[in-house]
Amino acid sequence: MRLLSEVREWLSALFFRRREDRHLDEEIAFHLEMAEHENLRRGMDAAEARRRAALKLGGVTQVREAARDARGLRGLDDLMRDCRFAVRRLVREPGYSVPTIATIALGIGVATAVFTLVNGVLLRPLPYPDADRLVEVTHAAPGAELAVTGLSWGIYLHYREHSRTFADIATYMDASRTLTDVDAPEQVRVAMVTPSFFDVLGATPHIGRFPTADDFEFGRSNGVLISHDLWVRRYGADPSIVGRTIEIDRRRDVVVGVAQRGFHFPDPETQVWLGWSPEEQLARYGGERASVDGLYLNGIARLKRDASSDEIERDLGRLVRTLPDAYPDVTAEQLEQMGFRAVVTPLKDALVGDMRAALLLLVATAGFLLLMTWANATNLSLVRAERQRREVILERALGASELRLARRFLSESILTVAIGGALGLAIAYVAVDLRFGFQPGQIPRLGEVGMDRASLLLAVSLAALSAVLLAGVSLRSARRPGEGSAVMGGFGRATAGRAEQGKRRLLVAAQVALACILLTGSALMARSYWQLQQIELGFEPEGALTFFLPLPGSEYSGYRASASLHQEVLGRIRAARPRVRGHRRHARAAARNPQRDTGSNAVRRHGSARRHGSARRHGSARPAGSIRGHGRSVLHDRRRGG
Amino acid sequence: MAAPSPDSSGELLQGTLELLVLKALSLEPMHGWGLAQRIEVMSRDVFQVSQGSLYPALQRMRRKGWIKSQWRLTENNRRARYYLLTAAGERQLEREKEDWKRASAGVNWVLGWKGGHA
Repeated sequence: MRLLSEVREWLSALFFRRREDRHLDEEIAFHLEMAEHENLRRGMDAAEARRRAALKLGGVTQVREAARDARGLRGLDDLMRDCRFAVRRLVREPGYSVPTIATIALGIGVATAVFTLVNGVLLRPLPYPDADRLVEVTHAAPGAELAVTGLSWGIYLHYREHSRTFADIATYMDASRTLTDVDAPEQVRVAMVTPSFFDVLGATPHIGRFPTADDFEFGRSNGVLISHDLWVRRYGADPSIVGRTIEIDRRRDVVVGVAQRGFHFPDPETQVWLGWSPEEQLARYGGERASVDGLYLNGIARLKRDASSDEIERDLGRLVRTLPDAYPDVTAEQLEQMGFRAVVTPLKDALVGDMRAALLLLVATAGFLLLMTWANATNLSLVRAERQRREVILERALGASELRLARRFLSESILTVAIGGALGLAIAYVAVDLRFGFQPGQIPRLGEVGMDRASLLLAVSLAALSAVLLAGVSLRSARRPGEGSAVMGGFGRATAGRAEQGKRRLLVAAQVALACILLTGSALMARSYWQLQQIELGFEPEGALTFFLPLPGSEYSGYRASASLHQEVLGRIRAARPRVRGHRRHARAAARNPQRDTGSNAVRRHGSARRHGSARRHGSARPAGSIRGHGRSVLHDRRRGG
Repeated sequence: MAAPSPDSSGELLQGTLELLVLKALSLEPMHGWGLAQRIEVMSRDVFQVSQGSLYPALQRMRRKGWIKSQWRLTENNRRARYYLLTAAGERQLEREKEDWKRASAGVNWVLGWKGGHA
């Protein structure tokens, strides 16, 4: 009952605030009148009677405020008024509010965006169950000048049979293929994977099933898995896709399943997975010479739950030592000479690779920037508080409580920071949405990066911290007992005390120092970049574009067939765009059967963690500075002096 | 016994003022001015009720549901806000009276102590 009546009172006080204010004013006026009347009755003159009455009441405003307080509404009331005043003051002082808001927005925006990136790439676990048990399996053979290399079919089968620490192991390779069904042909990244691939990753299909060894018969129709992306984009998210045939390189394959949305391993753009039978592959390409020849497979394994790093080390050593028993084409001495050993790397580290250092540098940069913006905003607030000191002194003299002053500054800084923070969040959203201007593949796991609750939490905490910081310095500075003359001499001029000036100088010095660090850092980076640009490439990259045109092996087997197609394509481009000159390069390599080409490709790139990090935009034109090996035509745009 | 004043916001004093208001209102509905006068008279001028704390106390008590207010005309035909004791207010008055008696008895015993160990 009591609670109810309290709530009722509070609500009515809330909704009838103005009426209640009027009532209170009337009540106080009545009181004053009565007191005055009483004083007159006691024989005072009119002026004295009024004065005494007011004196006894103790200040109309104070009574009114105290009574309002007692109504339990003060908070809400004041909050709204504080906000109104804060808006008014900030609008009146664009010289303070605009740069402060902009600075805060920049600091929070950059920090949030960078955090989101780093969180998505470095911190968040890979999107697979028990992802910390996933490792990349590679080999090193320093004696044969192979820093990093992969697995052969023989080694894969050997490890799969005999490892004691791998719960399961799979191999895969990726390549480009062309989808030739439906309307326009489309180039896609495909992955050839052994059947255990999906088990190792712990993936589940969206619909249908994963391809198995039985789905791969060399030269015949395969059972394939397609990505969720491709399914939606090219096949209209039609669930009846399972069991239907699609055409890859003019060959019909049967879709057996659709991957979960966002499943794109090994390449961020992998769209099709083909099942591989290791036994058949071994029979076809390995035979007896299966050990250390053809180390072109990528290995990925899931560790047993309790495998310690010591055990893994011992297990791998044993596996390599027993290799000659299984495949006599290599001897223990040879392995010894090569320094051949197996290496496992946590999959996340392998994916992130050398991006880690770059990202940490980015974090440091964002941190410096944040500190700088804080120093800047603090300084702006200090200067402003200095200007406001006389105003504050006046307010206090008129009876404003400490609490009220604190709220005044707090409301201002909260407002400033709220606007700045919102802008910052918008900046971060845009930056993340645009993927920071990176292409998928330039930064590993970029596709997984997205603003989430952690990003929001960070932005909000940074904003809260900024608000407290600004309010704190403003309040401290504004209510610092001035040099006595603040009221008298302070009007019309804002002078800072010596200590205050010192503090501000310190802040400016800190800002300049931070700016220097940032500037030096970016200058160094710019210099490295410039030096990279100066490396002699042996050709003129200016105005040159490259493109890559993989041809289906079934139709373009042999050099002549593909060379003539390349000629024809170039001829057509020249005819359509007279300003384009074309050079065919490495035509022989270009003419390679793609099936084989994939193999050689994989060997060349093998085992490099950067594989995931390097930009691969097949089928699209890009600057020739990044020209890669073979199978490429170089176009020169005459306009750009190629 | 110090007079409740705007400066002292001690709980005891605040509570005391509320007790006095409740008592005064139990006699008859009164407006703020009347209350102040009445309490001064009833306490034989020991208490100078400061209006600075009276009106906030009235608001607070109203919020707690002990009193309610009504606009009425005074005997001089002036509009004034009168305060009335509610049922909850009456119960509160009894409670506070008991508390007060116990507390003042305790204080008196302490002050009247004539040596020796307790």
